[in-house]
Amino acid sequence: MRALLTTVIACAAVLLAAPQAIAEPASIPDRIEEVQQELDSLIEDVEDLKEPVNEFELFEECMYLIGVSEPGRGGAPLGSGFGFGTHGAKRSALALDVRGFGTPAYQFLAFPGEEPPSIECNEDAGQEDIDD
Amino acid sequence: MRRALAAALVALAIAPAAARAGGDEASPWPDSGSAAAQLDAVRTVVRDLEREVAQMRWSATRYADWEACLHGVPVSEYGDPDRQFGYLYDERDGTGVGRMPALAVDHTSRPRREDYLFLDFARDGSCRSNAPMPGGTAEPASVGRALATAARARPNTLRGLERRVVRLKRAAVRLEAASERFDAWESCVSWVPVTEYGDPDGGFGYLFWPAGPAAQVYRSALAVDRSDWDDPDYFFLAFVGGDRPGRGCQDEPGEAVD
Repeated sequence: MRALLTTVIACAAVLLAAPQAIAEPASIPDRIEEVQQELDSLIEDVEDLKEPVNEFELFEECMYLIGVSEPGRGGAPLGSGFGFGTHGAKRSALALDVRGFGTPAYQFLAFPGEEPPSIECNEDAGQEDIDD
Repeated sequence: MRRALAAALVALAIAPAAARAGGDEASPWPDSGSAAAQLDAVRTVVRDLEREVAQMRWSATRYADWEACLHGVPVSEYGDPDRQFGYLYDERDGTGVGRMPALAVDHTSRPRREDYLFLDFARDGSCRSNAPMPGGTAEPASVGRALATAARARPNTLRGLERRVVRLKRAAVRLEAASERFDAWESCVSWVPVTEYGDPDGGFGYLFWPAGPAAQVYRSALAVDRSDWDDPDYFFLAFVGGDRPGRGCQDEPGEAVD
């Protein structure tokens, strides 16, 4: 009987306390203010992101793909190759491959020599890459 | 005197308004006004932020796309920069055959022991359309327009705006991670000054023997440009001396190598 009474009292206490524990829904002005505070923080975050994102855009706008091949690969006695050393050895070397009609072996990332990316290389925006 | 006094009075009358405008210029929220006015301001700010974030996401996506298309090619310089040994080279100016260094794919060194790891852009699959676009593209502008159209269809209720702010916060976190990844990559890349030496039309240059019994010809090849008097043809992007993003880099960001 005492246990039952204790349980009833405990349940009653919980039921009485519960409405007070549940937070009242925020008012409309409070919610608007909270959203505004979050947006203030977001505005700063987005502002901070502009520079690093612009860096990638500038990087991409200034970058070229340069076609390069490797003539002379393979050093067999009658194989092709560039002369190297003093004993008639042959070996391969990298050469630009931007003028022929074939497909270059590689497309290396490069910047034009006279125009590092810190300079306004994107002033001709819209022009197509004609090096490859 | 009267004119000066009038000017001073006008200035005093204007000053509070100017100060108010200047003081709150940074805040997009009305100083006072109904909840509806505040909500209008929230809508405007959310829409503007969504447009900005969408354009940034487009750039971040492009970076992720072309980063996946890159792979390293080990390259080393063979021959002595002082031209004591190396490839056979003839200027055909009467000085005779000399020696020149040149760059070649390094098929023998262990990984990270090569001089440079040049960055090759794959051409297969989706990489063909993900190639860098020198001179830029108009895509971000069209992204902004598309988003503006989509934004008009989004819920403008307070609950809807709260959800859009949550999405914006998630997008900002992802953008920050992408920008950090690009920064780590870019900080590790060096620019290797490279010039094509020799005549591409075969008038002079490196001595080359075609396959079979054909006679020797002259060809051009690529070498690191160490000259002080002229620009190199290109700066090739490379990881130098075993540098790799995220594992510590020896050189300063974007440093030219010579």
